[in-house]
Amino acid sequence: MQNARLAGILLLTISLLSACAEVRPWQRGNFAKPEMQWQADTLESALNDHIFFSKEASSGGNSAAGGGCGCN
Amino acid sequence: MTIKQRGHALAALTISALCFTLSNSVYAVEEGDEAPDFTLPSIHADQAAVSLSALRGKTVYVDFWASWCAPCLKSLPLYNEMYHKYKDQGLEIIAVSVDNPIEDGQDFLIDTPLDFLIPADPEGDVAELFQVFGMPTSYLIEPDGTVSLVHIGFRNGDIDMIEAAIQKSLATH
Amino acid sequence: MKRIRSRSLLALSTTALALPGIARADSPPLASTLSYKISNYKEDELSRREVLFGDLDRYDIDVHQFQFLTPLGRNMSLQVDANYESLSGASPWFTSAGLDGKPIVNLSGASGIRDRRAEIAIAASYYLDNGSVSGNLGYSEEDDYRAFYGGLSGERHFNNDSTTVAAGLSYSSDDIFPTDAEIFSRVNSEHKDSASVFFSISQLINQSSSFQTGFSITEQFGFLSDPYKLRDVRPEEKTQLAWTSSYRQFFASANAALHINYRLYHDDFGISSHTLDTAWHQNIGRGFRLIPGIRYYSQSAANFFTNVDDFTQALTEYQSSDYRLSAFGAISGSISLVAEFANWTTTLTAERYITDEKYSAYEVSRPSTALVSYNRVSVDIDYRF
Repeated sequence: MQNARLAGILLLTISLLSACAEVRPWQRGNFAKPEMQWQADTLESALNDHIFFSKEASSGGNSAAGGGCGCN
Repeated sequence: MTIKQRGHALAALTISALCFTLSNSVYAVEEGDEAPDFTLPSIHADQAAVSLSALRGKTVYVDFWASWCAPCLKSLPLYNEMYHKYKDQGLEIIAVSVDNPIEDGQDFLIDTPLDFLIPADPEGDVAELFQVFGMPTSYLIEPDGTVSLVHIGFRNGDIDMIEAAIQKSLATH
Repeated sequence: MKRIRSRSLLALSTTALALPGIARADSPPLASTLSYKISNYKEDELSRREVLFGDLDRYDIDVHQFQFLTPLGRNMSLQVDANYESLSGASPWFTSAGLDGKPIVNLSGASGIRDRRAEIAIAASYYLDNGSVSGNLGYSEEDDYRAFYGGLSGERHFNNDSTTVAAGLSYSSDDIFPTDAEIFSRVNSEHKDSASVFFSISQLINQSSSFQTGFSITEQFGFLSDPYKLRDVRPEEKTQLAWTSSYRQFFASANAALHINYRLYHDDFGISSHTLDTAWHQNIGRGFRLIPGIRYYSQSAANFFTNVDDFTQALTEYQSSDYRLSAFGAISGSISLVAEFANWTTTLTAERYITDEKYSAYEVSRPSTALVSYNRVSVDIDYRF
């Protein structure tokens, strides 16, 4: 089950990335929109990251897991 | 992380690396080159088409902009001031809008009127011709048609450097 | 009446976000922004049959976040973050077996428990033609906890900015000095170090979609147990691995964007987890945006988790009944409304988070009774000048 799921994710990743055509600089209007940012609201992301960090066992991902929290 | 997860991760990285090879190593307009000629309709429905060759013999500042590009919006009012300051000395400014749909660019101009030539390039054909590297990109074209300055991006203080280049071009011709 | 100070204050370190908040932009900000966000977080009460004695109320926390972001000269930006939180409530002290053998949670303290946290962090970025570098430093302080942290990161664009590679590292040095240590035979003062590295790649797929994937590795050394629990013994070293992928797709006909994020996590306490969250960013007219979102989380239990404390075990044996180390699943739903007008942006957010061992994707052999559900509301105001 675990393997099937990973294989599915792998296939999705490959198909997404191999579909990439170069997007010319003047075609990038959509990516300037606030709703298309990786993190549109940094205070909301910071708040959520820490609520979840203190209520769940997981942390980290695509940014450095910081310190400063006394919640084990 | 298990071996399988690590393998998957490595695969994702490799596929990403493959995208690197899609980068174009195509000829881009650089300083010293002859500026390519173009003709585009004006973004204003009631104005004539804009043609670069028609302005041969004058100092022309060509800028590629879009309403979604924040540094572009910051630069355009400053260019308007510069246009008023130097147009009597022969400066022409062509601000090519790559907005698609065109209405996005027109909406911006309703709020912020600009007095220089503004052609519309929604398909990006002229931007492709110049191989525009980033938004905004601007080119200072001398009266003889050669490009003396290519400037990518627009940051605090850039207007001074651009104005100095324009003054130099106007003074020597 | 004994007055036990509870730890585990909901904390807000902006380390993880101060870096991406700056480094993810292609060029320096053109205007300064001042932001203030106020939030209230309130956990559900436990039911009387789950609690042996004491209060039923858990945490009630008010959070204040301030941020100032400004360009500096031509190529730099500066960001200052300050956070303040105040907490009241109680937290599980130990678990025991009830008359029917089922685990019962015993909450600490009577009413009137208070704790406060204050934090300040500063970050700066330098923008080059094809990328940027950023650094940050921060300090967080509570009555019984102190942390210094810092980080460095960079990103580089390729393929005319279609591809971005980012990497960074961070370090934190934490000290804990539990309150009422002598009275309750707690450790007097302990230390912990954490170090972490991350690496990520972003790629524009076509004119309306993009993909990002990243990894992080974190190492912790030192005192990792909870000193406020009657019996909590954890290893002195922990390795954590996380892999996150994100996808963004814009729908022109709907004038809306879809966000999907997935994280796979594993650590050497034995915990693995899946996190999947998705949100729909719907533009409404000019200047409004509605953002409903759903998040699903599921983790497995730590190797040494037990839902009933065993005081007969030797003190050198790893053991913890902390519900955060148990197997459970959590589902949360949220909704935000963003309003933009002139130089102001206001955001209202409400969220409901529910935990249950039934939601777990992993096998649950020992469910914890102390699982937390909560409500959260926030108001955020931003001003650009």
